Amino acid sequence: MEPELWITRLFNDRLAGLGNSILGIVGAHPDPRPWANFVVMQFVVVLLLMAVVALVRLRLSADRPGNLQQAFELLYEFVNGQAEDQIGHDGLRYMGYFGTIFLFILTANLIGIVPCFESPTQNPSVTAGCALTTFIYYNLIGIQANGFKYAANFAGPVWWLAPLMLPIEVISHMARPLSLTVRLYANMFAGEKVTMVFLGLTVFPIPVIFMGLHVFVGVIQAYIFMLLTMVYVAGAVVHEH
Amino acid sequence: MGFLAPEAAARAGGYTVMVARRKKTFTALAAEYTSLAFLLPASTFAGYAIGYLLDKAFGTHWVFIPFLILGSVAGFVQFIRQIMKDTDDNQS
Repeated sequence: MEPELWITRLFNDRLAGLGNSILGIVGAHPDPRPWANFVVMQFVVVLLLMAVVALVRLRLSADRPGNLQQAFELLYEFVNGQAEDQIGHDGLRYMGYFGTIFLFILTANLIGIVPCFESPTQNPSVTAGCALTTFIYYNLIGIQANGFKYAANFAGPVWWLAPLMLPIEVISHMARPLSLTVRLYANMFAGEKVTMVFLGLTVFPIPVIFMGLHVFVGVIQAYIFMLLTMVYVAGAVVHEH
Repeated sequence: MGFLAPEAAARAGGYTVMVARRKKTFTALAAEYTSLAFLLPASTFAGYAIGYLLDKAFGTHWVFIPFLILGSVAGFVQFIRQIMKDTDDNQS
């Protein structure tokens, strides 16, 4: 079993009853220490994001925008630009999900470089959760945009190929969440392990290089996850135009 | 800069479908190509997993084989589709 972080220990000491109640809902057996690091770290990420966004909201000003507001405006422009590139003008309708998934994964990836914390995306359950949410989201958007015609996407371009194309398309769609899960998890897990190994084996300047690489990989992986979500949503709503 | 996407038009059964597609940025292309590396193994595994679950549901021992093959085919289909889409984008 992995060593508990200080914040996980705090949760397990104070909130074990609440953890077991939640585990009971899904039929899991009670555990003396039910909180895992990745669950607690997800709470930390969500609370951190909520606090920062609340701060931006409080200081919102059209005349004198602060540094934080300008940073968020840049972020909004970036995500909106990517959504327009992939989906067109309708991309704005789905900005809420794209922005949320990007900010959550980016923060989850980068929080690991703060001492005494670890990235929740190092755990495959977290990345699988994000991937499944995306999978459900783009399929719901596809059904919302095209109704029952969305199912025609799975039949291929010509009707007589449908019996062959249907299983191929179903498998292709099932492979998407798997691919999203493994890519993010493997990159973050490997990045963290490489950084830790060099931190143990070498002296001061060398681990910094690998830590920088880890930060770069974290940002790129959050971007890739968001971009692929946009690509999947664009594929699901293509008939709407 | 909209143009007629042939695959979308074919899927719509002959209706004209206009899809606005811009030239992809380098970062967008890089992100899509990194996903290709995972596409083949993920599709193969997804096919095997579906076949395995069907085998368990029906009490058979052979359904996973055609689904494993279909999984590999699905990976290649996705791969070729991506390449063709990008080739079209470059030519337009």
